[in-house]
Amino acid sequence: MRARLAGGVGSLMFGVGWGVADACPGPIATQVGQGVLWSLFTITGVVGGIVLAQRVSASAGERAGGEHVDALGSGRRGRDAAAGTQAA
Amino acid sequence: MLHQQLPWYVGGPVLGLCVITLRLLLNGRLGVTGGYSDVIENVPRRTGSFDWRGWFFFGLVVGGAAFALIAGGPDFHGYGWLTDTFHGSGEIIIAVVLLVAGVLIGFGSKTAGGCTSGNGLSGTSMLSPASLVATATFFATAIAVSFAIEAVI
Repeated sequence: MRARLAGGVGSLMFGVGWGVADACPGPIATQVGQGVLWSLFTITGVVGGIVLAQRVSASAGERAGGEHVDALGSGRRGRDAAAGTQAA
Repeated sequence: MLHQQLPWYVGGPVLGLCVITLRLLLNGRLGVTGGYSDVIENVPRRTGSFDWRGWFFFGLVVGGAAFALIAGGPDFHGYGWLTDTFHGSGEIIIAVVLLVAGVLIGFGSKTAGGCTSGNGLSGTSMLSPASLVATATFFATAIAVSFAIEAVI
């Protein structure tokens, strides 16, 4: 159920980003190859968003893992994720 | 110079054949977000040991470059409604909007388990219910947002 909800929210976010930037991940990569300079901002955002999603799912996994939680590691991840948000 | 688009009856089947070929050869699920992920995971390790998804991503970039060369050099003109709307000192807004939109695209597609290719092309062609729902959701949202932008601008 939670996974389904996350998938729905993710789809909504992706739809908004796609509508605003007029491009989805595939064409953004080809725009970079074509030398469309504005696409460098878009692809930077995409990479940041994917890194952020990977960190969020990794920390969610650690919480679910219980005893395997590495306090130092997850703390560092948390700060990095926050820095990523600011940079965006 | 404005590049001409391939007609849908050429581009569509070619994309579909890519999905089928990848499934046949590697039993893989063609998805661009997976390509980004593979590059993101491998670049910090400096191993360069990308799997097919990472090479697929580089193929997209090289394909874009090849197209630009064949079509007569890079096309630096505009970026849709953003460059039509914001000029001069307002161009900083374009950069911010594109960065934020990019984060939404990356975070959203990763969370949704795929983008237009992973969910839209590959997932729906396997009749995966989750992919059908995701594709309907992000397509509908993107169409609604495009119409909203057109109405406001």
